[in-house]
Amino acid sequence: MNQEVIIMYDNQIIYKGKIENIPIKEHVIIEQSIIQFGDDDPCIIHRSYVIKKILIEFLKEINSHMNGKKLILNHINKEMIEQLDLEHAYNAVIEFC
Amino acid sequence: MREIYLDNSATTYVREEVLKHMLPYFKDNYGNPSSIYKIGLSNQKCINVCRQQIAKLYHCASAKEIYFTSCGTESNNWALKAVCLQNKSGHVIISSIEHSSIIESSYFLKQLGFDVTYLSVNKNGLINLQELERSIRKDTILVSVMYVNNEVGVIEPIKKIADICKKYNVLLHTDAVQAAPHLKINVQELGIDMMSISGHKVYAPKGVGLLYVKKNTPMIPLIHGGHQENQMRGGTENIASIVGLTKGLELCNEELKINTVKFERLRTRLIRGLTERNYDFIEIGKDNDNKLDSIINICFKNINSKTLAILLGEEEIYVSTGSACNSGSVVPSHVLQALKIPDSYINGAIRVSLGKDTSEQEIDLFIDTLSNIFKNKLSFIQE
Repeated sequence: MNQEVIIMYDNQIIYKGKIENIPIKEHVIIEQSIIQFGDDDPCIIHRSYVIKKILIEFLKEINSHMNGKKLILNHINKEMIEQLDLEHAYNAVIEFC
Repeated sequence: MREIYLDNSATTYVREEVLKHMLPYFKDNYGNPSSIYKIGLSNQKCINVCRQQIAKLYHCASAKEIYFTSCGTESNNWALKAVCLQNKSGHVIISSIEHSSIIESSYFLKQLGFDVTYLSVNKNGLINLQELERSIRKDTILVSVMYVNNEVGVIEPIKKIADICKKYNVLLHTDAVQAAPHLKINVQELGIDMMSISGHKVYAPKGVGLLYVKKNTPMIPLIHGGHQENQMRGGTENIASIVGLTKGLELCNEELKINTVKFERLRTRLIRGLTERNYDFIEIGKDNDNKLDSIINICFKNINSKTLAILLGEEEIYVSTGSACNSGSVVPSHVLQALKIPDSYINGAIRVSLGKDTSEQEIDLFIDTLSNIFKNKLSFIQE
């Protein structure tokens, strides 16, 4: 998950960096930590596990819909996009560098 | 799909024979061993019989040298703190690859004013005996070196370490938690003064362990309270688990030879399978004869082992990674750092620890699953 991506909305870069560093909404991390570990105050190990799981699923979803180098994110599962802590992510375009 | 459990150094299940021995002590034989009526006295006797059986297993001079605890971590804490806290100050020597219960106890002792030397290790995890001897000072009161390292399986030369300690009249403790399932232990031949063992590594329950303390070794309690364990450890005894621990240790001891041969065969199969697939990896300690075949630490180049372990987990294959939490981030474990594993490999460390039920088919399936992940999900795991 160390591939570099650019996520753009309306010609503005809303994220540039590795897939593994795409920000996830804090409440999503906590919810998933509660589901996985029963822990509403996750330590770094629980946090990083939860974030990795979310991004693994995100990458699987991207790969299954990607045709070429770019993909409009509204082609993938909406719930998955809503987990990302990026404004306008739903209509953004993701491109592998 | 059936799970493939390759993390036996983390824990083991409670085997049927052990469970069968434990069950009566949950419901029928429930008396408090400190009580002076029939059902209490019989449990007191039961604990003493367990003590004698374990003392015989490990060739102790006396059953009174065996103290039951709640786990290996408690035993480790007790050993270090009991020796040190009888002195106002002093010097302790431990290896840099000890279990965190020894490392963290050492930090605590440093806060109290004790000096601690952390022995370096070579790339196979072995301590340097000359460095140990050079490190001993007039005020050295204790050396603690684990018999078998939990992450890489290296077997330290405990007998030679004991000879050095004896020369300078320094007490020697060894964490034998990972050794007990796999090695024959004779405490008198080894020459150790204290030894920690844990139940849940030998197909016995979690929540029980023991500390061997050689007769005449000055000790103080860690847990104060009742008169249990010869007034050295307060707390009503966990009889069912003590019975389970005893049975687990006995069975492991009986099966040592068979398992040793099997683990060598499985390790060879695993490494051959990975090598044939041309993966770029380091097997930690592969050139070291003093290493358990049941603990195999493989570091893949430029691979994120945490992601790899998650993907393996999705296929119900369970392994450990060599990572730890440090000040808000996940970093390679202190053991891998001490072994100076190259940067490009250190984050790709996977520990496979075999158990008595691990089969060749499971090893083959593990290799095949790895192969699929490397082929179809390389982008997920690459660093």
